[in-house]
Amino acid sequence: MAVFYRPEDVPDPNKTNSLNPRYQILRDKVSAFVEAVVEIAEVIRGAVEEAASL
Amino acid sequence: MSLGSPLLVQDDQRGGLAGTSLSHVSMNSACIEKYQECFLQEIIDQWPNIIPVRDFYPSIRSLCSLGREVPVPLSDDREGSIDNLLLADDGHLVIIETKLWRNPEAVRKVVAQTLQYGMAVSQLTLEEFERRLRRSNPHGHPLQSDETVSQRARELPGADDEFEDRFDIFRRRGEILLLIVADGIHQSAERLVGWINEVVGTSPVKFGLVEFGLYDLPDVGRVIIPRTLLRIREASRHVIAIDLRSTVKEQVQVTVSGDQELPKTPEMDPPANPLTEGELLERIHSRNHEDIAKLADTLFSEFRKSGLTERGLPASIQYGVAVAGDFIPLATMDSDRVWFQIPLRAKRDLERNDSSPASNGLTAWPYFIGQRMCRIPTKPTP
Repeated sequence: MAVFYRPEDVPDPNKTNSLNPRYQILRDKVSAFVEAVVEIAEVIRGAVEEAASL
Repeated sequence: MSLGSPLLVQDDQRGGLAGTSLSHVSMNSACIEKYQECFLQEIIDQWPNIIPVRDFYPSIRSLCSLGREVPVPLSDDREGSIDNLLLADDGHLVIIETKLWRNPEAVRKVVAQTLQYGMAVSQLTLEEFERRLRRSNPHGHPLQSDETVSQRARELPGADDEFEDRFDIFRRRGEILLLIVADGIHQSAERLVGWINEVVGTSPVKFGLVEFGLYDLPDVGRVIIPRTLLRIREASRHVIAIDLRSTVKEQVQVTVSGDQELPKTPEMDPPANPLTEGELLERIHSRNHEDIAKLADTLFSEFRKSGLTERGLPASIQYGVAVAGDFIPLATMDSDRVWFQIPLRAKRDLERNDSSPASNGLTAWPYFIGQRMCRIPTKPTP
């Protein structure tokens, strides 16, 4: 859907952020993108709850 | 040969050392036509890291130019122009006034002018500030019509996902570094700047003098050696305690204490003029084709329904997780781009607990999107 480069994937890691995709890259994939972000949010919430219960 | 001159050391043919003392080139006399103030401006604009900025802000790791001759409003409807405006990776702005002391401008006028520029920049809205950056000298690095300061900052090594917040806070509070970069020492300027730093010791503004020494490099050209003449003196010794016991803290608890001072905990202000969803969508509609604008409408609508927390910044909107009084941004949208992020500190904190299934899931986050629904990242073609 979109190429989110990691620093080690590009010749100049300092410029990775400027390669972020524009909106058109999400064409027909908006729901899948939001769904993935929500799942990652759940992972973070779970981790924080685990840490709080320690 | 003058005392304290730089020395060029080379290996000689017999395995020993050969030293050549470099001779100082005056920008005031023989080369008067060649070395104008625009010469200093051009050097700083092209190679901003020549400025010894860590003498003032040790946390800065890199600088980039925001332009030359940047117009700023002064009192009485007048307009001045900042010779060089630089941006640091930690969010600080550096305003530079270049000066060849052969020019008969009064020292007091130069210092007052620089202070006025600092005040003017801190009072502009972000949009007005960016509009003025676009009007700076086209021979420098003006902001492009579709470029924002945050986008320019992404080119800086060391700029992280907190940049936009810090940039906004520093600029509004006037935490700006003001520098006079000159071809030599002017004692009255040194005395005046020193005096200002003493009497406005509690002011967020930092003021300094930098000398560019120009020396002949035999058979090669010339070398510029920057030297800080005046830096902020440390008023007292402070102890900083950072509480990292709790995990996933975007804003750690920092307690600062010093001699005869009660401990105090500074609080970060929320971003000024946060963008609303409506305002951002308006910008997206005005800058993109209709089908892209509709796509953005759908994206925001989906995020609204997602249960994630929204946070407005001056030039973008973020969706993320609100935990324990903190906010962890995950997706950020500005008028042109959308990007995904997890703050490194959150990732590191979670990775420390290796046995946690949640942290194991997060460790794999770089591949998460790729495995689920994207193609695997590939190297861009040069």
